[in-house]
Amino acid sequence: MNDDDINEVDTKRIGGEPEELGVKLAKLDWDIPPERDLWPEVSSKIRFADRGRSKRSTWPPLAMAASVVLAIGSLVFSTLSYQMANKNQRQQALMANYQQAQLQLIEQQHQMVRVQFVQLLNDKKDSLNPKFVKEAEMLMLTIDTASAEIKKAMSVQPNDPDYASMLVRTYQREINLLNQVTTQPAAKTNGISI
Amino acid sequence: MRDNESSLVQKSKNGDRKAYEQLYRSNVGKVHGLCLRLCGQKELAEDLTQEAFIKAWQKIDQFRGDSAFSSWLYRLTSNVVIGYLRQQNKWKMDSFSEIHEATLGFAGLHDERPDLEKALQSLPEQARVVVILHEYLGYKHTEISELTGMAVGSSKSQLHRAKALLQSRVAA
Repeated sequence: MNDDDINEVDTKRIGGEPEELGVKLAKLDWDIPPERDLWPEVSSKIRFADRGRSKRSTWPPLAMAASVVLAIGSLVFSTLSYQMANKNQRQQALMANYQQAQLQLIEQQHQMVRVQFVQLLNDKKDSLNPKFVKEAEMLMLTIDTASAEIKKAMSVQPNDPDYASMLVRTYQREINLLNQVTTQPAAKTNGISI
Repeated sequence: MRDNESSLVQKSKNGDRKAYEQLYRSNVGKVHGLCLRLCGQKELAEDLTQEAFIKAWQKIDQFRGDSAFSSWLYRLTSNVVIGYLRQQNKWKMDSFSEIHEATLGFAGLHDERPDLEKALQSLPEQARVVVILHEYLGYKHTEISELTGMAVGSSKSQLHRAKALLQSRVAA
């Protein structure tokens, strides 16, 4: 029986009626609260849990929104890269501030995508090809290593838009991966090509 | 009470987590009790309780309101627990061993349990699950068969022998 059928409940028996054993069982104390409060964990998990009805519609918009931010970011940084070379110090400082703000936004988007991506991968783990899951996990590790290296370089040269562009491209790979998990049927998700 | 419950369900359907917390608070004891009696292990029961409430949140749109929310929730909970037990390959054990004492993790329950409680927990896992599903939750044998993967005949014989065992153990 699947979860869709569970509305077909025969409530007459709950609470005990026809059979003696059923009555005795119903008289047992079934209200046994757990020793610890489980709500904080449930609450944090449902925060990102997608619902059956909206399963298909939740992820693509998120990936799309993140993609838009990254695309804009990419454009901004390549423009900045060109302009910075031709501006004076004050203008360069203003642009650097703008770049920092953009980066912050991208970083936030990336964190959201990452949290939900990990959740999605866990949820779909059983139905996805294990090879795909392994590749996805390896790729996330690679993305983490690459972004850590880029951030290290950025801390030395914070105003260099080329590093920001590299970071955006790295995050874009994760969005592509997320799109593959969300848009392809589980059984056909055999390999990753980003 | 039921009105309040339906309003909480409706709010939960709309994504109100505060409302869902109230549904959680008023049902967690019974959901956990059911998980504990079905799986027989304290920590596992807590994990499965969480899982049941997460799944209920995801599927609450499917609750039509034909029955009480709690009845729907218990059914969903038993699906979660049995799904887990089946996944763990525990259902291959088809024999009905009288030696098997399922004393797993019931230290969490108070020692002065009623005889029926002790007898229930001494049943093999499959038999205990069939008894609870059939006698407490009112599942039909065909439904038990669909849910657990065992044949309808097996479900019936598990129940028959479980009842006999329970009666002899409670009477002893």
